[in-house]
Amino acid sequence: MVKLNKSQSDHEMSREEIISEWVAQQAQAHRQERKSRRLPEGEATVTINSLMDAMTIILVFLLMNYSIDPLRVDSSDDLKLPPSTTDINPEPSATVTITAKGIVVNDEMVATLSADGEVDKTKKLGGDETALQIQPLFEALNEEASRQKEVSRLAGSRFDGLLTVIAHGETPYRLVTEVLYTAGQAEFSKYKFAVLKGGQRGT
Amino acid sequence: MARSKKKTISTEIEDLNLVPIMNLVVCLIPMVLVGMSLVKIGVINVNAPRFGMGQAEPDPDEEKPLGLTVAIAEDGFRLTATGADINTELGETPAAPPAGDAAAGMPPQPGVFIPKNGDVYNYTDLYNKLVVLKDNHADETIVNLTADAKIPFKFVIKVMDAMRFRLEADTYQDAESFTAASPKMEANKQELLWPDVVFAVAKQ
Repeated sequence: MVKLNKSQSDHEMSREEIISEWVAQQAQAHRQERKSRRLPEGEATVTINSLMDAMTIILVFLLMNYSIDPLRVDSSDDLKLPPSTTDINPEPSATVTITAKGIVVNDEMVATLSADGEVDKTKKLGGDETALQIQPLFEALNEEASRQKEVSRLAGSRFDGLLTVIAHGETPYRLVTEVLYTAGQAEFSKYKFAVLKGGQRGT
Repeated sequence: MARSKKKTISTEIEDLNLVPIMNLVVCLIPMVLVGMSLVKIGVINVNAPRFGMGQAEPDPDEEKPLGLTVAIAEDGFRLTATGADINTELGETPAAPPAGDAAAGMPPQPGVFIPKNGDVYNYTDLYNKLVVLKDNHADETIVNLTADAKIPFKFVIKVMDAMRFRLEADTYQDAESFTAASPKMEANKQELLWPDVVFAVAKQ
């Protein structure tokens, strides 16, 4: 049609007019086509395919990170791990957590602590204040040790006696030794202290 | 007419309804994010503590072990050794034993005292002295670690950090250069200083 106009009245219409008419026709045709493709009234979709792609990748990444972490510590005011320069990664093992308020074995509080970070003497062996063995902790760890021994026996491996101690940075040294002594009595012989990586030496 | 209807159906099949999956994913991502710990956790290996005072008599044919002990007190570090005269090795005069030791029934013995530098422990001096002792006793790796009953656990970790690896230099003058130093590497492995920490009981 444009060509026809051009051949018929080339001298009447300028070049610009021909072009603008052609553009208008193309736009009209484009609009018609889009209108015919449009969904029925009341239905609308958002293109979320690309968003889905991104989210699936993020989800897989997060889940992978989640599963390879053998030791998870929820930091709070009562449990602030001390920083250290170590680069050893944690291994799956039994854990004892010493917070500012109590001693926790397998998510169960076995002994509460005083404000000074001491275990009540009634919970120690023989009710003696100078005793090193914390009785409820010993019972909980003994149970854990026998459970692990049974598991290793069935799996045909050796009980390694590995215990990870997750301790609050302000825990007094005396309590740490009491917990280690008690763990030793319950046949745990190798210890690991959980720390935050990225600490600075000598500060 | 028939043709246009066919076209509509084919368009509907092409568009998957992703809204339920989106709902699921949008819920899962914050859940996993909250559950994820953003800080990296590491561990420090320690050996089983020796609590009994009475130990088996060592074989007289064997060389006497050094038996180095680092004690953390309120006012500084105390180094003692049962198998060698560390005062002569380090060129220090014996420090007077702390009052608490005699009360706990420990025999007073010579040792080196490293006082606090103001309010902070002098880890740099501790490292310098431990390097000298390591050079004199190259086969020894075991160090006993003890502390006063009230010393917070974080200082125990810091002392273990200071004595685990040998650094590039053998002596450091100030804490800044000690902090900035990186471990000495030998055949792609960090050279160890006193890595085998044995805990001793706190005196109450």
